[in-house]
Amino acid sequence: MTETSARDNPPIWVEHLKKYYQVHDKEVGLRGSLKSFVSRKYRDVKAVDDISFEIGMGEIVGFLGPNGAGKTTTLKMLSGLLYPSAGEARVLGFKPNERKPEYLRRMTLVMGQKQQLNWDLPAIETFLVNQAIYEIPDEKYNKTLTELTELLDLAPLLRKQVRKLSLGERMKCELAAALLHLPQVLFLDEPTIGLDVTMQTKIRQFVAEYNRRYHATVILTSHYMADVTALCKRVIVIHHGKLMYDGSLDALSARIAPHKLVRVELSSALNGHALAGYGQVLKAEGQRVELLVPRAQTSGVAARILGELPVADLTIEDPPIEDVISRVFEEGAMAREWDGETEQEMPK
Amino acid sequence: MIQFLKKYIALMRRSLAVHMEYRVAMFIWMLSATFPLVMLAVWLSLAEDGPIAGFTAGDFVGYYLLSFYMRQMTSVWVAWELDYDIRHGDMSSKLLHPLNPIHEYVAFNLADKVIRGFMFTPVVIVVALLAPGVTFLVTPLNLLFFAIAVMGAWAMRYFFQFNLGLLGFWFSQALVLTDVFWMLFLLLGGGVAPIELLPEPLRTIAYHLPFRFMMSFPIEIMMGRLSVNEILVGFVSVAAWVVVLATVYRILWARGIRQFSAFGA
Repeated sequence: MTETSARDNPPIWVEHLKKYYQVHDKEVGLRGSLKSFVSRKYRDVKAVDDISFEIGMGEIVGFLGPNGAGKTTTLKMLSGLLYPSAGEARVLGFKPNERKPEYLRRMTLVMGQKQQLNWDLPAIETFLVNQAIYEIPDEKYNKTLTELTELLDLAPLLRKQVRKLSLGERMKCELAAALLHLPQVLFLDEPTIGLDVTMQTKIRQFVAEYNRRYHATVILTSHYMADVTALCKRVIVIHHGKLMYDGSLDALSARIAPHKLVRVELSSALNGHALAGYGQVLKAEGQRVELLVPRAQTSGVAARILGELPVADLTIEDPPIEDVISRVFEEGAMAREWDGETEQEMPK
Repeated sequence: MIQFLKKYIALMRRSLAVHMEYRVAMFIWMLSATFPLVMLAVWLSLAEDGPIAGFTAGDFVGYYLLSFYMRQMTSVWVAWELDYDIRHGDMSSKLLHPLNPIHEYVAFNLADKVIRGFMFTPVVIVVALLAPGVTFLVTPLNLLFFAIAVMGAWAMRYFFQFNLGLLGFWFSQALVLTDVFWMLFLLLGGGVAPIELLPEPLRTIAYHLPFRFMMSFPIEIMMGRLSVNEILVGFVSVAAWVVVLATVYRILWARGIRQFSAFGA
């Protein structure tokens, strides 16, 4: 089909995508129930409100946004589960909501809070069913399974009942089940939710390796910024269904938090007053000092501190990315930043 | 076609494993279908003084033995599965597969039928041979007719309940309808009493409704109460009903998925 080839590049293409829901509000109590039975008041909820973006082959993009921002709704539209209210999406040249088998065989959606593995059976049973459903030839299946087993350390898990696996072990098996058909497009919705730090790291490394080996395109949502900083050069920030930012993580950090954090360990105590000339004093407790310095001046200020103060140790850091992101979501913060106004204080 | 068969084999293999995992629960469910035995006891005590409308005591034993078998071999619970999957989002997982989810549900049910078939077919044969007065028409042709009629009954019950379950896309209490269905099925399908023994006008109504083909029709065949002509006419009716139910399924499924992908998924 000509349509497919025309749009095959880029693999993910989204234009003015919208998803509005009609919900009815119910007042509390019996009276409220009766009222809503007789006449329901509906209102539109704009889960996704006019977002557009393109994602290139082999990219890993992080979707950021607080709960209810529209991340999952977007992923569900891209994987064909939800029908858009308006706008258009193409993935690998397909309209996702047509749910063509040829499309479904080339993508996967992993939801950290849902599972496809059968609870009562070993994971390998679900793998075998997926082999048949996705029409994977034996040879390719065995090769892929061997690779995934090695990458995810699945060997001791495959024959255990899924309900006897730990949360992390289960997630590894879920990922394998979702990737046996070697999809080219991965939608990962909170794949590390609830996992401990070690397991998060393993899943992360695995996603990076899969992306590298198979040149797969990945959209990832996560509440753990470490996932995003480790995997995604590019992030898309969604808030109240609107696209707030699309670009590199570094640039986002620079724009939202145009300061660096300078930590100084002094060899003898000074009074706070003498420090004010270097930058904004966040903390001055005995010999420990934290200063907020505009990015551009960081190296100059550091040099001056080293020359003028009795310094035992000095470090320059980016403010924690969690803080940067939470700033984005504070109502209006974004708009003000975009206007070029400089924030005076670090959020904490 | 071969790919399709492979999918069914894989799905049924897994389904068998699931059923086996719950073998104790399954065994209890199977034996809980004792309603036919209760009805048998009632009719036997009534038939003590002689046949009732042509049904001897032996006929009642045969009838309710087959009624028990029919309930085992056509048991359907897919409306509950659909209800659960629609509410809990498992339908979404199934929709991501490049295979219509109905096949996963059907395979799950068929695996159960394989198990029940192996368990209860010998039981029915042994009881039929040992119990006094049971007369079945055992010829190869009639056994074939019976097998076809059982499959038809299963298909009708399955699609009927699948369609009721699909209403869950629109209504959160669609399961109530399965209770209505169950009452009609027992009363007008021959579960409570052989349709021949129903009082008028219930009897005439029962002969014009689909429920008879879901239970009574195969039993009537096995007991030798129908002519070949009547059997063939019955098959045409069953085929027509299956086509109607399957068409309704197609419409409900297409619309339901549209509804689901607009609001629910």
